[in-house]
Amino acid sequence: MKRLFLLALLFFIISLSGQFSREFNTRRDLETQVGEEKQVTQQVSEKSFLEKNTEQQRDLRQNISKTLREFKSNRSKKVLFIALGIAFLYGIVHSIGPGHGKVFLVSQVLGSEVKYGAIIASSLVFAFLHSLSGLTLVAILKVMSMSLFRESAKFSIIAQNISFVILIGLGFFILLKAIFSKTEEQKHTHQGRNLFVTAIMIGFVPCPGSIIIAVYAMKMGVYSTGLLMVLAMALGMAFTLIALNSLTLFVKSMATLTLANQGNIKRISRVMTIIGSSLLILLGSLFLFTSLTS
Amino acid sequence: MKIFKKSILLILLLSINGILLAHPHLFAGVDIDYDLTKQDTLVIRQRWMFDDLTSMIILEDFDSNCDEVICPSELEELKSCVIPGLKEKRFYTDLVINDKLIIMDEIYNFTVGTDDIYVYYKFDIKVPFNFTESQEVIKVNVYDREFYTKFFVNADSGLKVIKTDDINYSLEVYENKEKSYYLGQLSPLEVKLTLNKDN
Repeated sequence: MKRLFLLALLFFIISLSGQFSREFNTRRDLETQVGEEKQVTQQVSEKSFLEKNTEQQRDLRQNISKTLREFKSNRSKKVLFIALGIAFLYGIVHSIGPGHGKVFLVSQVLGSEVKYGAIIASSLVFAFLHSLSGLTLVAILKVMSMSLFRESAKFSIIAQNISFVILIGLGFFILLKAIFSKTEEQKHTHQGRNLFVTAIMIGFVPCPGSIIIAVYAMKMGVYSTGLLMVLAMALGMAFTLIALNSLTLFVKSMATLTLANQGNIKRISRVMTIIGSSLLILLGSLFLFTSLTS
Repeated sequence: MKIFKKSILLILLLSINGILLAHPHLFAGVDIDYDLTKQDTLVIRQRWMFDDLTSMIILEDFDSNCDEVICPSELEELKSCVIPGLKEKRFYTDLVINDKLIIMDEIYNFTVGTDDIYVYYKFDIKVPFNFTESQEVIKVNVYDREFYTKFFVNADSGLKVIKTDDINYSLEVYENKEKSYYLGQLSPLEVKLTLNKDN
Protein backbone atom coordinates (compact mmCIF):
# COMPACT_ATOMS: atom_id res chain seq x y z
CA MET A 1 0.00 0.00 0.00
CA LYS A 2 2.82 2.32 0.97
CA ARG A 3 4.61 1.50 -2.29
CA LEU A 4 1.44 2.15 -4.26
CA PHE A 5 1.04 5.53 -2.56
CA LEU A 6 4.64 6.45 -3.31
CA LEU A 7 4.34 5.37 -6.92
CA ALA A 8 1.17 7.44 -7.36
CA LEU A 9 2.90 10.40 -5.75
CA LEU A 10 5.94 9.97 -7.95
CA PHE A 11 3.79 9.73 -11.06
CA PHE A 12 1.94 12.92 -10.12
CA ILE A 13 5.11 14.87 -9.52
CA ILE A 14 6.94 13.55 -12.54
CA SER A 15 3.99 14.44 -14.72
CA LEU A 16 4.52 18.01 -13.53
CA SER A 17 8.19 17.83 -14.38
CA GLY A 18 7.36 17.69 -18.08
CA GLN A 19 6.64 21.37 -17.75
CA PHE A 20 10.26 22.04 -16.89
CA SER A 21 11.55 21.35 -20.35
CA ARG A 22 12.34 24.49 -22.17
CA GLU A 23 13.25 24.48 -25.80
CA PHE A 24 15.20 27.63 -26.27
CA ASN A 25 15.39 27.30 -30.01
CA THR A 26 11.78 26.54 -30.74
CA ARG A 27 10.09 29.66 -31.96
CA ARG A 28 6.68 30.06 -33.43
CA ASP A 29 5.09 33.04 -35.03
CA LEU A 30 1.83 33.76 -33.29
CA GLU A 31 0.73 36.64 -35.37
CA THR A 32 1.91 38.50 -38.37
CA GLN A 33 0.12 41.53 -39.68
CA VAL A 34 1.46 43.28 -42.70
CA GLY A 35 -0.10 46.52 -43.80
CA GLU A 36 0.99 49.28 -46.09
CA GLU A 37 3.17 50.87 -43.56
CA LYS A 38 3.25 48.63 -40.55
CA GLN A 39 4.20 45.16 -39.66
CA VAL A 40 3.63 43.56 -36.28
CA THR A 41 5.39 40.31 -35.60
CA GLN A 42 5.22 38.38 -32.39
CA GLN A 43 7.65 35.61 -31.72
CA VAL A 44 7.32 33.65 -28.53
CA SER A 45 9.55 30.79 -27.48
CA GLU A 46 8.29 27.70 -25.71
CA LYS A 47 7.27 28.87 -22.25
CA SER A 48 9.34 27.87 -19.24
CA PHE A 49 7.85 26.08 -16.26
CA LEU A 50 7.87 29.27 -14.22
CA GLU A 51 6.15 31.24 -16.96
CA LYS A 52 3.44 28.60 -17.23
CA ASN A 53 3.12 28.50 -13.45
CA THR A 54 2.77 32.29 -13.33
CA GLU A 55 0.05 32.28 -15.97
CA GLN A 56 -1.79 29.50 -14.14
CA GLN A 57 -1.62 31.54 -10.92
CA ARG A 58 -3.01 34.58 -12.70
CA ASP A 59 -5.86 32.57 -14.24
CA LEU A 60 -6.75 30.91 -10.94
CA ARG A 61 -6.76 34.28 -9.17
CA GLN A 62 -9.15 35.60 -11.77
CA ASN A 63 -11.39 32.61 -11.17
CA ILE A 64 -11.21 33.13 -7.40
CA SER A 65 -12.41 36.72 -7.66
CA LYS A 66 -15.06 35.76 -10.22
CA THR A 67 -16.52 32.98 -8.06
CA LEU A 68 -16.38 35.16 -4.93
CA ARG A 69 -18.37 37.85 -6.74
CA GLU A 70 -20.81 35.20 -7.94
CA PHE A 71 -21.14 33.79 -4.44
CA LYS A 72 -21.79 37.24 -3.05
CA SER A 73 -24.71 37.70 -5.41
CA ASN A 74 -26.42 34.29 -5.13
CA ARG A 75 -25.00 32.57 -1.99
CA SER A 76 -25.19 29.23 -3.77
CA LYS A 77 -23.55 26.19 -2.14
CA LYS A 78 -22.45 24.96 -5.55
CA VAL A 79 -20.54 28.20 -6.18
CA LEU A 80 -19.02 27.96 -2.72
CA PHE A 81 -17.68 24.47 -3.42
CA ILE A 82 -16.32 25.60 -6.78
CA ALA A 83 -14.63 28.56 -5.06
CA LEU A 84 -13.06 26.26 -2.46
CA GLY A 85 -11.89 23.89 -5.18
CA ILE A 86 -10.26 26.76 -7.06
CA ALA A 87 -8.63 28.02 -3.84
CA PHE A 88 -7.25 24.51 -3.22
CA LEU A 89 -5.83 24.38 -6.76
CA TYR A 90 -4.43 27.88 -6.33
CA GLY A 91 -2.68 26.69 -3.16
CA ILE A 92 -1.05 23.86 -5.11
CA VAL A 93 0.02 26.01 -8.05
CA HIS A 94 1.07 28.95 -5.85
CA SER A 95 3.34 26.79 -3.70
CA ILE A 96 4.87 25.04 -6.70
CA GLY A 97 6.10 28.50 -7.68
CA PRO A 98 8.97 30.32 -5.98
CA GLY A 99 9.18 30.97 -2.25
CA HIS A 100 7.39 29.33 0.68
CA GLY A 101 10.63 28.06 2.19
CA LYS A 102 10.43 24.73 0.40
CA VAL A 103 14.19 24.54 0.25
CA PHE A 104 14.48 24.68 4.07
CA LEU A 105 12.04 21.81 4.55
CA VAL A 106 13.76 19.78 1.83
CA SER A 107 17.15 20.34 3.48
CA GLN A 108 15.72 19.10 6.78
CA VAL A 109 14.15 16.01 5.20
CA LEU A 110 17.47 15.36 3.54
CA GLY A 111 19.49 15.82 6.69
CA SER A 112 17.24 14.31 9.34
CA GLU A 113 15.91 10.88 10.06
CA VAL A 114 12.25 11.63 9.55
CA LYS A 115 9.26 9.50 8.68
CA TYR A 116 6.39 10.12 6.27
CA GLY A 117 4.08 10.89 9.17
CA ALA A 118 6.36 13.72 10.33
CA ILE A 119 6.49 15.07 6.78
CA ILE A 120 2.70 15.15 6.48
CA ALA A 121 2.26 16.75 9.89
CA SER A 122 5.01 19.36 9.46
CA SER A 123 3.78 20.28 5.95
CA LEU A 124 0.27 20.81 7.32
CA VAL A 125 1.63 22.85 10.25
CA PHE A 126 3.66 25.00 7.88
CA ALA A 127 0.87 25.56 5.33
CA PHE A 128 -1.78 26.50 7.91
CA LEU A 129 0.60 28.73 9.88
CA HIS A 130 1.78 30.42 6.66
CA SER A 131 -1.82 31.17 5.67
CA LEU A 132 -3.19 32.01 9.10
CA SER A 133 -0.30 34.36 9.89
CA GLY A 134 -1.34 36.23 6.73
CA LEU A 135 -4.92 36.40 7.99
CA THR A 136 -3.78 37.56 11.43
CA LEU A 137 -1.66 40.28 9.83
CA VAL A 138 -4.63 41.51 7.78
CA ALA A 139 -6.79 41.60 10.93
CA ILE A 140 -4.14 43.52 12.91
CA LEU A 141 -3.53 46.04 10.12
CA LYS A 142 -7.26 46.51 9.64
CA VAL A 143 -7.87 47.09 13.38
CA MET A 144 -4.99 49.57 13.47
CA SER A 145 -6.25 51.24 10.25
CA MET A 146 -2.89 50.77 8.58
CA SER A 147 -2.20 50.37 4.87
CA LEU A 148 -2.50 46.73 3.81
CA PHE A 149 -0.59 47.33 0.61
CA ARG A 150 2.49 48.84 2.23
CA GLU A 151 2.55 47.56 5.80
CA SER A 152 1.94 43.88 5.02
CA ALA A 153 5.02 43.84 2.78
CA LYS A 154 7.10 45.56 5.48
CA PHE A 155 5.93 43.17 8.18
CA SER A 156 6.54 40.15 5.95
CA ILE A 157 10.15 41.21 5.39
CA ILE A 158 10.74 41.65 9.14
CA ALA A 159 9.14 38.27 9.91
CA GLN A 160 11.17 36.68 7.15
CA ASN A 161 14.45 38.05 8.49
CA ILE A 162 13.66 36.86 12.02
CA SER A 163 12.92 33.41 10.58
CA PHE A 164 16.24 33.31 8.77
CA VAL A 165 18.16 34.17 11.92
CA ILE A 166 16.39 31.42 13.87
CA LEU A 167 16.92 28.92 11.03
CA ILE A 168 20.64 29.73 10.93
CA GLY A 169 20.73 29.15 14.70
CA LEU A 170 18.89 25.86 14.29
CA GLY A 171 21.35 24.84 11.57
CA PHE A 172 24.31 25.48 13.89
CA PHE A 173 22.60 23.60 16.71
CA ILE A 174 22.00 20.51 14.56
CA LEU A 175 25.48 20.68 13.03
CA LEU A 176 27.29 20.96 16.36
CA LYS A 177 25.16 18.18 17.81
CA ALA A 178 25.97 15.91 14.85
CA ILE A 179 29.69 16.61 15.21
CA PHE A 180 30.14 16.53 18.98
CA SER A 181 27.52 14.07 20.28
CA LYS A 182 29.16 10.97 21.62
CA THR A 183 26.41 8.40 21.13
CA GLU A 184 24.35 7.65 18.02
CA GLU A 185 21.17 8.06 20.09
CA GLN A 186 22.16 11.61 21.02
CA LYS A 187 22.88 12.43 17.37
CA HIS A 188 19.53 11.29 16.11
CA THR A 189 17.16 12.29 18.90
CA HIS A 190 14.66 15.06 18.15
CA GLN A 191 15.42 15.02 14.40
CA GLY A 192 11.68 14.98 13.65
CA ARG A 193 11.34 17.92 16.02
CA ASN A 194 13.89 19.88 13.98
CA LEU A 195 11.66 19.51 10.94
CA PHE A 196 8.73 20.88 12.95
CA VAL A 197 10.77 23.82 14.24
CA THR A 198 11.79 24.60 10.66
CA ALA A 199 8.16 24.35 9.50
CA ILE A 200 7.01 26.70 12.28
CA MET A 201 9.79 29.20 11.59
CA ILE A 202 9.08 29.47 7.88
CA GLY A 203 5.32 29.26 8.43
CA PHE A 204 5.58 32.31 10.65
CA VAL A 205 6.21 34.43 7.52
CA PRO A 206 2.79 35.53 6.23
CA CYS A 207 1.76 34.32 2.80
CA PRO A 208 0.98 37.28 0.50
CA GLY A 209 -1.28 35.03 -1.60
CA SER A 210 -3.60 34.39 1.34
CA ILE A 211 -3.40 38.04 2.40
CA ILE A 212 -4.72 39.05 -1.01
CA ILE A 213 -7.58 36.53 -0.91
CA ALA A 214 -8.48 37.55 2.65
CA VAL A 215 -8.56 41.26 1.72
CA TYR A 216 -10.64 40.55 -1.35
CA ALA A 217 -13.18 38.49 0.59
CA MET A 218 -13.29 41.16 3.30
CA LYS A 219 -13.91 43.85 0.72
CA MET A 220 -16.73 41.75 -0.77
CA GLY A 221 -18.23 41.29 2.70
CA VAL A 222 -17.97 37.48 2.63
CA TYR A 223 -15.74 37.01 5.67
CA SER A 224 -16.40 33.36 6.51
CA THR A 225 -16.10 32.34 2.86
CA GLY A 226 -12.78 34.19 2.71
CA LEU A 227 -11.58 32.27 5.76
CA LEU A 228 -12.66 28.96 4.21
CA MET A 229 -10.90 29.84 0.98
CA VAL A 230 -7.67 30.66 2.80
CA LEU A 231 -7.91 27.29 4.59
CA ALA A 232 -8.55 25.51 1.27
CA MET A 233 -5.54 27.29 -0.15
CA ALA A 234 -3.46 26.17 2.84
CA LEU A 235 -4.54 22.59 2.19
CA GLY A 236 -3.40 22.94 -1.42
CA MET A 237 -0.02 24.26 -0.29
CA ALA A 238 0.31 21.38 2.18
CA PHE A 239 -0.45 18.95 -0.64
CA THR A 240 2.49 20.27 -2.72
CA LEU A 241 4.85 20.24 0.25
CA ILE A 242 3.87 16.72 1.28
CA ALA A 243 4.45 15.55 -2.29
CA LEU A 244 7.81 17.29 -2.61
CA ASN A 245 9.12 16.25 0.81
CA SER A 246 7.87 12.67 0.45
CA LEU A 247 9.64 12.46 -2.88
CA THR A 248 12.80 13.80 -1.25
CA LEU A 249 12.59 11.19 1.50
CA PHE A 250 11.87 8.44 -1.03
CA VAL A 251 14.86 9.42 -3.19
CA LYS A 252 17.05 9.72 -0.10
CA SER A 253 16.05 6.26 1.06
CA MET A 254 16.71 4.80 -2.38
CA ALA A 255 20.10 6.49 -2.56
CA THR A 256 21.04 5.36 0.94
CA LEU A 257 20.08 1.78 0.18
CA THR A 258 21.96 1.80 -3.11
CA LEU A 259 25.12 3.36 -1.75
CA ALA A 260 25.36 1.77 1.65
CA ASN A 261 25.69 -1.61 3.15
CA GLN A 262 24.55 -2.21 6.70
CA GLY A 263 27.94 -1.20 8.11
CA ASN A 264 28.14 2.34 6.84
CA ILE A 265 24.47 3.37 6.91
CA LYS A 266 25.13 5.20 10.19
CA ARG A 267 28.07 7.06 8.69
CA ILE A 268 26.00 8.09 5.65
CA SER A 269 23.20 9.21 7.94
CA ARG A 270 25.66 11.38 9.87
CA VAL A 271 27.02 12.91 6.67
CA MET A 272 23.44 13.62 5.54
CA THR A 273 22.74 15.39 8.86
CA ILE A 274 25.86 17.52 8.42
CA ILE A 275 24.88 18.35 4.81
CA GLY A 276 21.28 19.17 5.82
CA SER A 277 22.28 21.47 8.68
CA SER A 278 25.00 23.13 6.60
CA LEU A 279 22.40 23.80 3.91
CA LEU A 280 20.17 25.38 6.55
CA ILE A 281 23.02 27.68 7.65
CA LEU A 282 24.14 28.53 4.11
CA LEU A 283 20.70 29.14 2.69
CA GLY A 284 19.54 31.04 5.77
CA SER A 285 22.62 33.28 5.53
CA LEU A 286 22.21 33.74 1.78
CA PHE A 287 18.53 34.63 2.09
CA LEU A 288 19.17 36.95 5.02
CA PHE A 289 21.97 38.70 3.14
CA THR A 290 19.79 39.05 0.01
CA SER A 291 16.91 40.38 2.06
CA LEU A 292 19.03 42.91 3.98
CA THR A 293 20.86 44.20 0.93
CA SER A 294 17.92 44.40 -1.50
CA MET B 1 17.22 4.94 -12.94
CA LYS B 2 15.57 7.50 -15.24
CA ILE B 3 12.81 8.07 -12.69
CA PHE B 4 15.45 8.45 -10.00
CA LYS B 5 17.34 11.11 -11.98
CA LYS B 6 14.14 12.91 -12.89
CA SER B 7 13.08 12.92 -9.25
CA ILE B 8 16.36 14.48 -8.12
CA LEU B 9 16.09 17.11 -10.85
CA LEU B 10 12.52 17.88 -9.85
CA ILE B 11 13.37 18.23 -6.15
CA LEU B 12 16.27 20.53 -7.00
CA LEU B 13 14.22 22.66 -9.35
CA LEU B 14 11.22 22.98 -7.06
CA SER B 15 13.24 23.77 -3.97
CA ILE B 16 15.78 26.01 -5.66
CA ASN B 17 12.84 28.11 -6.85
CA GLY B 18 12.76 29.59 -3.39
CA ILE B 19 16.21 31.08 -3.57
CA LEU B 20 15.17 34.56 -4.55
CA LEU B 21 12.35 34.62 -2.05
CA ALA B 22 9.81 36.19 -4.26
CA HIS B 23 7.05 35.12 -6.50
CA PRO B 24 4.54 37.23 -8.32
CA HIS B 25 1.82 38.60 -6.13
CA LEU B 26 0.80 41.41 -8.41
CA PHE B 27 -0.13 40.92 -12.04
CA ALA B 28 -0.42 43.67 -14.61
CA GLY B 29 -1.20 43.77 -18.30
CA VAL B 30 0.86 46.40 -20.13
CA ASP B 31 -0.23 48.53 -23.09
CA ILE B 32 2.35 50.76 -24.77
CA ASP B 33 1.68 53.69 -27.08
CA TYR B 34 4.52 55.37 -28.96
CA ASP B 35 3.74 58.97 -29.79
CA LEU B 36 6.00 60.29 -32.54
CA THR B 37 4.03 63.44 -33.28
CA LYS B 38 5.66 65.67 -30.67
CA GLN B 39 8.46 67.96 -31.76
CA ASP B 40 11.91 66.62 -30.74
CA THR B 41 10.37 64.31 -28.17
CA LEU B 42 9.39 60.68 -28.13
CA VAL B 43 6.53 59.97 -25.76
CA ILE B 44 6.10 56.41 -24.59
CA ARG B 45 2.76 56.09 -22.87
CA GLN B 46 2.24 53.06 -20.67
CA ARG B 47 -0.89 51.68 -19.11
CA TRP B 48 -0.59 49.00 -16.46
CA MET B 49 -3.89 47.28 -15.86
CA PHE B 50 -3.80 45.30 -12.61
CA ASP B 51 -5.67 42.07 -12.01
CA ASP B 52 -8.86 42.24 -9.98
CA LEU B 53 -7.36 41.09 -6.67
CA THR B 54 -4.53 43.63 -6.85
CA SER B 55 -7.01 46.30 -7.97
CA MET B 56 -9.14 45.62 -4.92
CA ILE B 57 -6.13 46.00 -2.60
CA ILE B 58 -5.17 49.31 -4.23
CA LEU B 59 -8.74 50.57 -3.76
CA GLU B 60 -8.81 49.25 -0.18
CA ASP B 61 -5.73 51.30 0.64
CA PHE B 62 -6.31 54.51 -1.28
CA ASP B 63 -10.02 54.85 -2.02
CA SER B 64 -10.76 56.47 1.33
CA ASN B 65 -14.33 57.53 0.45
CA CYS B 66 -15.10 54.04 -0.92
CA ASP B 67 -16.63 55.22 -4.20
CA GLU B 68 -14.53 52.73 -6.22
CA VAL B 69 -12.76 55.62 -7.94
CA ILE B 70 -9.46 57.31 -7.13
CA CYS B 71 -10.37 61.01 -6.82
CA PRO B 72 -7.75 63.82 -7.11
CA SER B 73 -6.96 63.99 -3.38
CA GLU B 74 -6.65 60.20 -3.19
CA LEU B 75 -4.47 60.29 -6.30
CA GLU B 76 -2.06 62.67 -4.60
CA GLU B 77 -1.67 60.29 -1.67
CA LEU B 78 -1.21 57.33 -3.99
CA LYS B 79 1.36 59.22 -6.04
CA SER B 80 3.38 60.13 -2.98
CA CYS B 81 3.36 56.50 -1.94
CA VAL B 82 3.88 54.78 -5.28
CA ILE B 83 6.10 57.02 -7.41
CA PRO B 84 9.24 56.93 -5.21
CA GLY B 85 9.14 53.13 -5.37
CA LEU B 86 8.63 53.16 -9.12
CA LYS B 87 11.48 55.61 -9.53
CA GLU B 88 13.75 53.38 -7.47
CA LYS B 89 12.90 50.50 -9.83
CA ARG B 90 13.37 52.75 -12.89
CA PHE B 91 9.66 52.37 -13.64
CA TYR B 92 10.30 48.70 -14.40
CA THR B 93 11.15 49.83 -17.91
CA ASP B 94 14.31 49.35 -19.95
CA LEU B 95 14.44 51.73 -22.87
CA VAL B 96 17.11 51.41 -25.54
CA ILE B 97 17.26 53.74 -28.54
CA ASN B 98 19.71 52.81 -31.28
CA ASP B 99 21.56 50.50 -28.88
CA LYS B 100 21.91 53.24 -26.26
CA LEU B 101 20.33 52.66 -22.87
CA ILE B 102 18.22 55.64 -21.81
CA ILE B 103 18.11 56.36 -18.09
CA MET B 104 14.76 57.77 -17.04
CA ASP B 105 14.47 59.89 -13.93
CA GLU B 106 10.93 61.09 -14.22
CA ILE B 107 7.56 60.09 -15.53
CA TYR B 108 4.82 62.50 -16.56
CA ASN B 109 1.01 62.68 -16.42
CA PHE B 110 0.74 59.86 -13.90
CA THR B 111 -2.91 59.01 -13.38
CA VAL B 112 -4.81 56.16 -11.81
CA GLY B 113 -8.16 55.09 -13.14
CA THR B 114 -10.63 52.26 -13.01
CA ASP B 115 -12.03 50.26 -15.89
CA ASP B 116 -14.89 48.08 -14.66
CA ILE B 117 -13.34 46.38 -11.59
CA TYR B 118 -9.75 46.90 -12.69
CA VAL B 119 -7.41 49.64 -11.55
CA TYR B 120 -4.80 50.97 -13.92
CA TYR B 121 -1.80 53.28 -13.75
CA LYS B 122 -1.11 55.43 -16.76
CA PHE B 123 1.97 57.56 -17.34
CA ASP B 124 4.23 59.03 -20.00
CA ILE B 125 7.95 58.64 -20.47
CA LYS B 126 9.45 61.49 -22.43
CA VAL B 127 12.76 61.23 -24.22
CA PRO B 128 14.51 63.82 -26.43
CA PHE B 129 14.29 62.39 -29.92
CA ASN B 130 15.32 63.65 -33.32
CA PHE B 131 14.59 61.49 -36.29
CA THR B 132 17.87 62.19 -38.08
CA GLU B 133 19.03 58.73 -39.06
CA SER B 134 17.46 56.84 -41.95
CA GLN B 135 16.41 54.23 -39.45
CA GLU B 136 15.74 54.40 -35.72
CA VAL B 137 15.33 51.40 -33.47
CA ILE B 138 13.54 51.71 -30.12
CA LYS B 139 13.45 48.75 -27.76
CA VAL B 140 11.26 48.63 -24.66
CA ASN B 141 11.14 45.95 -21.96
CA VAL B 142 8.73 46.18 -19.04
CA TYR B 143 9.54 43.68 -16.30
CA ASP B 144 10.24 43.30 -12.59
CA ARG B 145 13.61 41.67 -12.07
CA GLU B 146 12.63 40.74 -8.49
CA PHE B 147 9.53 39.04 -9.83
CA TYR B 148 7.23 40.52 -7.21
CA THR B 149 5.08 41.85 -10.03
CA LYS B 150 4.55 39.97 -13.26
CA PHE B 151 3.98 42.24 -16.24
CA PHE B 152 2.29 40.80 -19.31
CA VAL B 153 2.82 42.92 -22.41
CA ASN B 154 -0.38 42.86 -24.45
CA ALA B 155 1.32 42.16 -27.74
CA ASP B 156 -1.90 41.34 -29.56
CA SER B 157 -3.80 44.56 -29.05
CA GLY B 158 -1.90 46.74 -26.61
CA LEU B 159 0.72 48.28 -28.87
CA LYS B 160 0.04 51.47 -30.78
CA VAL B 161 2.16 53.88 -32.81
CA ILE B 162 0.93 57.43 -33.26
CA LYS B 163 2.92 59.00 -36.08
CA THR B 164 3.05 61.39 -38.98
CA ASP B 165 2.40 60.24 -42.54
CA ASP B 166 6.04 60.24 -43.60
CA ILE B 167 7.05 57.56 -41.09
CA ASN B 168 6.85 53.84 -41.73
CA TYR B 169 7.32 51.39 -38.93
CA SER B 170 7.46 47.77 -37.98
CA LEU B 171 6.90 46.28 -34.54
CA GLU B 172 8.44 43.06 -33.32
CA VAL B 173 7.68 41.36 -30.01
CA TYR B 174 9.95 38.61 -28.79
CA GLU B 175 11.56 37.25 -25.66
CA ASN B 176 14.92 38.82 -24.94
CA LYS B 177 16.97 35.95 -23.58
CA GLU B 178 19.92 38.25 -22.90
CA LYS B 179 17.87 39.86 -20.15
CA SER B 180 16.90 36.60 -18.51
CA TYR B 181 16.28 36.89 -14.80
CA TYR B 182 15.24 34.78 -11.85
CA LEU B 183 17.94 32.16 -12.36
CA GLY B 184 17.42 32.39 -16.10
CA GLN B 185 13.91 31.01 -15.83
CA LEU B 186 12.19 34.12 -17.15
CA SER B 187 12.86 36.48 -20.02
CA PRO B 188 11.07 39.76 -20.61
CA LEU B 189 9.09 40.38 -23.76
CA GLU B 190 10.92 43.01 -25.76
CA VAL B 191 9.01 45.34 -28.03
CA LYS B 192 11.18 46.53 -30.90
CA LEU B 193 9.95 49.47 -32.95
CA THR B 194 11.85 50.13 -36.15
CA LEU B 195 11.16 53.46 -37.82
CA ASN B 196 11.91 54.49 -41.39
CA LYS B 197 11.30 57.89 -42.85
CA ASP B 198 10.11 58.51 -46.42
CA ASN B 199 12.51 60.67 -48.40
